[in-house]
Amino acid sequence: MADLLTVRHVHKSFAGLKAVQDISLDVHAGAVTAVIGPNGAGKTTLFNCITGVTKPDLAEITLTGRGGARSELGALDVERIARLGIARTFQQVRLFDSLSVIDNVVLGGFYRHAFGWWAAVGDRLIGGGRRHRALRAAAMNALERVALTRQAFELAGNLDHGNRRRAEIARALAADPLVLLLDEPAAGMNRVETDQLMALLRDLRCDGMGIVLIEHDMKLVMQVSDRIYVMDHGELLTSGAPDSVAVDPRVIEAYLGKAAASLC
Amino acid sequence: MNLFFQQLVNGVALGGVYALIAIGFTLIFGVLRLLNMAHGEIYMLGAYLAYLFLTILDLPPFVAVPLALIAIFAISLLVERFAFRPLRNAPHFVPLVSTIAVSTILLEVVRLAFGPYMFGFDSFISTTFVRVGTISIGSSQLMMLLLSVVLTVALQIFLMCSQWGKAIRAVSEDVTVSGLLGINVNRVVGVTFAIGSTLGAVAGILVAMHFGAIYPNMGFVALVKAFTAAILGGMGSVPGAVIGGLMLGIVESLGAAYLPSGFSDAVPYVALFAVLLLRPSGLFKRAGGSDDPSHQGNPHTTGGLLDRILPQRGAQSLAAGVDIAKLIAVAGVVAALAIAPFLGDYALRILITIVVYAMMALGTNVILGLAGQLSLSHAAFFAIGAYSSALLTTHYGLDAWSAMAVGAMLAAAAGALISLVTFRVRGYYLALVTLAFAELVRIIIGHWNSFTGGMMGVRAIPAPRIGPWVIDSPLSFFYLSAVIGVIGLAVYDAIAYSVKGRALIALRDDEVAASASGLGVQRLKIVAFTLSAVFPAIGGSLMAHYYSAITPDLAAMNETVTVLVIAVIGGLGSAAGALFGSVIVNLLPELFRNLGDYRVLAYGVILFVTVLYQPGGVFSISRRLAWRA
Repeated sequence: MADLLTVRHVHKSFAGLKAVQDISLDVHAGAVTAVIGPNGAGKTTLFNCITGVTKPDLAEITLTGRGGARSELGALDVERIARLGIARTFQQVRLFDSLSVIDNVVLGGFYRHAFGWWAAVGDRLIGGGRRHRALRAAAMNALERVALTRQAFELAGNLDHGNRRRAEIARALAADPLVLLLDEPAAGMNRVETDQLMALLRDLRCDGMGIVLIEHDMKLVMQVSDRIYVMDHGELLTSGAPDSVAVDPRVIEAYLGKAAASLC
Repeated sequence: MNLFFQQLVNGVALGGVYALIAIGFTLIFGVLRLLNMAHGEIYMLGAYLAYLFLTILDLPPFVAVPLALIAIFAISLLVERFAFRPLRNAPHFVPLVSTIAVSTILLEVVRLAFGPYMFGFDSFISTTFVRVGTISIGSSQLMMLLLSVVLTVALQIFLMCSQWGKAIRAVSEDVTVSGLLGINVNRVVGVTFAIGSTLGAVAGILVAMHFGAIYPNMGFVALVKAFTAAILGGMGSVPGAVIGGLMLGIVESLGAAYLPSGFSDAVPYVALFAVLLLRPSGLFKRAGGSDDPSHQGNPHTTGGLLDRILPQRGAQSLAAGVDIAKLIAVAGVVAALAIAPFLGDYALRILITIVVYAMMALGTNVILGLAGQLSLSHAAFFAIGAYSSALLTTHYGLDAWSAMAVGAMLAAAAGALISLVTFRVRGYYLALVTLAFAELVRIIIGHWNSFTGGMMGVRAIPAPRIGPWVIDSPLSFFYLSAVIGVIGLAVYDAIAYSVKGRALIALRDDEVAASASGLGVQRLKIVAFTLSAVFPAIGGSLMAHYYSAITPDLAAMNETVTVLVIAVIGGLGSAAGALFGSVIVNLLPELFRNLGDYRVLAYGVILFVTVLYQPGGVFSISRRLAWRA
């Protein structure tokens, strides 16, 4: 298992509130790394720091690219980081609501195509949209993986909640990322959908993708993760394999309070 | 040195009034998260009502002035209730367009009732001067200063200590939570809007007394100054608005003394640009709460009028089928081309005007319809295109086509420049900055007498030639503009449907998600601004050659409003919509010729009704975009 993304000493405060304090974690290719913790533990802020949506106060985040080239992400902006191969979903789904699902997915992988303005407009003006259709055909693969092909031509804004999550995952997959950050992908999904998601995560792991998962569904986390990091109040509580984390009294205390921990 | 101190005193007095306007503006922004473009017209209306009661009805001042203010308070309550409250949850540009509609309606009502002329406004306090050394201070200046200090302090006490003030501050922090806590949000918002407006009206009356004159357009300048002062002080902050107003008043008065006349009008706009460039969040205080409503619903997902009238069909069948809006547009163009030889010169002129305005609306479609940036400098690009054509052909002997190309390139450069300057500015701010840019262009064109011909404009612009043919008859010029118009529509359509066009829509829907997907947000914006400048510039160039004489009015605010009306009515983002909107707006007044002066009022009303009831416009593009590849 190669080191794909090493996150070291991330600090982030919002006006005195220490949202993330000295968090370090490793993301390996072909593995699922889960980040769990109670609400407000700083998980999403950590994601935002990794993807550049929020600038960390202090951090060393290094990505090892396809050719083995190492990039320091700290100084880069959101698009640059995305273009290096880090794709993500959001806790509150952020789709392009007035575009169709398929075009959402097309745009998710669009940066990989050298496709300038002249080519794009020319494609419509004289090419009859042939290249766009080719992009859509390629995007269908990503929709197939999340079983959303039937809704491909619906407006993203008209999808129901579970399908919106899946569309967002498909858009992230379209970028063929090295690292995929999923922020509560199972929230609002029913059991069947969660099982499908689990199958998808295992597939992606087999493909060698590095997956980072924020999730409250413990069953999903325990079954799919290779390593779990537990955060509370912005700090790293513990980390380890699912079995060891599940019985760690500090984790139980963070989730359920001291009384529950003493009962165990 | 004496001049300096005299102007400093003048500046402080003037700044006091600016502060009053800005306080009202910033108060309304704080509670409604809305840049109230009608604030200037309320200010103007205050002065006119005072004039009505004082001079026409001859009431004593202590009755007339309170009466005017009570009337403004009541009118503002109505405006808030019917123009803004229904739109509170709409995407941010919708209520903004609504304020533009209200502003147009108020302006036109005053213009129609009182005429477009300047009236003398007799001061109701005796005009005396206090002399301090060599500096003289007028009684009206003293009153301006005194009243602005008293009102500001009173407002601050009201906001900080009274029950109402607390409710207002709570609502400006969080509307939803305030509602949950049992605050009557509608009443608080309405009353705040009315208080802010009344403060503006007080300022209007003070300025009318000081300068001894009122005219319908006095509001727009006041609006820009209020905005500049509010931004200087940090949007949403009352003390900030006071300091911003004072600074602006001083800078402007000193500018009037030391700059060539005419150009001092440009000072507030330049100050606005400078502040937004250096400190977009204001000089003093960061605005409380989020002013970037980037995560609100989208009107483009609601179908246009056409989608409602026509039976809904399945997506797949329409994907293979015909685009009805486009079909109507093509049929209309073919019909116009066919009947043109049988039309008189007047009808041809209307057709040419339709093409010109459709080109302008295409610019709005790119920047607002696709990229979702509320840029209001289209009139400036229009004027840049027209003046490039006019000056290059008359002064430098260039042929019409090269001049048109140069004009388009200059406009494109201006558009790119604006996008760079305003990269960090978004939403409401962008609207006023771009509007200020258009004013700046108008002022420069209007005062650079030696180059642009000043207010007289440029005359004897030659007709374009194609080989040996001179395109100078109305019919041949119509065919020429039709060809250019059709090319413009086709190119716009290709842009809208291209993957890049959809990337612009993605940017509009969610900028964060767009950049997290690796889309180059800044480059997309630059291209969108550039493209949005090219279409109006070509329209302006056509206009210059057709009329063979142009004036700086091309860059005026009402041109931008007209184009916005066209784009919104037709359906933002749709090529057919731009054409259709242009036909409606240019043909309606012709159908009601005897309406004459009511034309602009009709625009305002149409815009208002459209925004309230059909925010997607007649031809909504969104559904069609979903299906077609």
